[in-house]
Amino acid sequence: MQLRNSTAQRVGLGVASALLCATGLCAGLNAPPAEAQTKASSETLYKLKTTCSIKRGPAQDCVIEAVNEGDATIYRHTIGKTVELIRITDSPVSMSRWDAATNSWVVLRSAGARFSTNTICFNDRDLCVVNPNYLNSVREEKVDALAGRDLVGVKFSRDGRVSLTCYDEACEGVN
Amino acid sequence: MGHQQTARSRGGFGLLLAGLLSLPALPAEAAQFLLEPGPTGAQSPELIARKGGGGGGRSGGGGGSRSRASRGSSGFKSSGSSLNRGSKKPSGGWSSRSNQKGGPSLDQRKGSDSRKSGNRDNRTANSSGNRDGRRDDRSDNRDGRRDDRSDNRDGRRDDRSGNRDNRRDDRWDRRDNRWDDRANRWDRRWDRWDRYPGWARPGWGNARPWNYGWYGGWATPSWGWWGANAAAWGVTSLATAAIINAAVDDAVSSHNTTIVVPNTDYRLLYGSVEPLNEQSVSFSVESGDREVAMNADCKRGTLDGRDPSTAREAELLNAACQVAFGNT
Repeated sequence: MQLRNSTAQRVGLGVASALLCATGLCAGLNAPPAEAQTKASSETLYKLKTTCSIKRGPAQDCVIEAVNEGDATIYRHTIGKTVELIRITDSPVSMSRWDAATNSWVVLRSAGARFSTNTICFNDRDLCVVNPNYLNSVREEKVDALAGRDLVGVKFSRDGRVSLTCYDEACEGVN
Repeated sequence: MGHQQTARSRGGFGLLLAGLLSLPALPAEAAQFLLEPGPTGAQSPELIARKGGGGGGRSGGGGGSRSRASRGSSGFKSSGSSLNRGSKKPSGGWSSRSNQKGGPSLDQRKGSDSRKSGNRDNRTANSSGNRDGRRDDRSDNRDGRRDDRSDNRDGRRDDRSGNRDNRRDDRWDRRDNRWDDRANRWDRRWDRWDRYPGWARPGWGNARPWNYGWYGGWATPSWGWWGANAAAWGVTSLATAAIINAAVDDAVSSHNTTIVVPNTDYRLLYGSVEPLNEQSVSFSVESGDREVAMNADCKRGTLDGRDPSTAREAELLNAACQVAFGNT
């Protein structure tokens, strides 16, 4: 719990910094906290140049940086001047999005992935990204469950736990 | 007898409870109702869940052996979320640039179905012939193949001494140590689907982590040996990228681990295709009941360092290179 909080605070500062910089208010804030630079358990998995879209908008160039931090993987999506952070844990699976307004992680309502388009979306279509790396990793870990599947949907309850998983045609109407 | 029935029904209740605990869509109220501690002050839900579907509990649950109960299949083992952190490096590694056209979308690719059906008639050989569960076939055939192996070995030696000009056999038998790896190969066969690289799936063209994509697109292959040899073999072209891509699409959607290489009886294990560098690729191929690991140099047009000696080998080279580096 301590780890999660400190991670959230560090990442939160990063996001706040990015947002403030975007509005021209970043004096003195653009350097990341020193501890973030030295954190031993943080491991960058990859950086991916790809495309993202926000709230069903047009595709935009974006960069995804996937970082393992403790028991979570954090996906930092940089889309122009906007930064969206998604935090995913296993056992149980949970997904949350960094809310800069409240400086906290807010659990997602839903996530969906379509393998044939290498796309994953969060909170319906609030944030959609092309990330084959993520889907390749998921595919290798869930071989039997995903064999023959293309579309996968997950809904989360308010406490962040999975409340529904659907596949393909069963996902119709699930947002 | 009465005791056994009670025990059985208690075990059944445990199974049901564990199953319900695993059911993702179960309303919270229903789960809570079922988790109400009984009059004997049952253990916490976490402990029950962790013990799996065996029923039992600390006292052994009565009836049946404990080990049998703990191995019971609840049917809900895989019922959790099908997404995860994505934190493990998949086979083939990560890509650093995505080539996906059209941006992110959860919608089905437009025209994907019609494209597949459109290509189906053009597809050569029996690309759909093996569709019916190669995985099952493999385990069914395994015993038989093991038995056949020693027979095959003797037969092959005879063939070799008797018929030296059979170049195809020469190729498969060329490496002395190839068959020394047989035990490993059969192990791989056993769990091949589980070892499937993550990119070998719907959307595989853009999921290949190496992201090269320069192969093909020519009217005739640019390999130096092509013209004269093709004329000698009586062929004018190789299978197109569309045909090979469609074969992989079909294999992916029907969970086959191989595609039939067009105009041959070779079966390419497309998930085994892996670049060695920007022009060479390693892969495994099945011929009959044999599997061989090979390398191809897609720019020079060689298989294991030699020019293909038959049109079929040229098709194999072409298919492996298309899966590795071709546009999709």
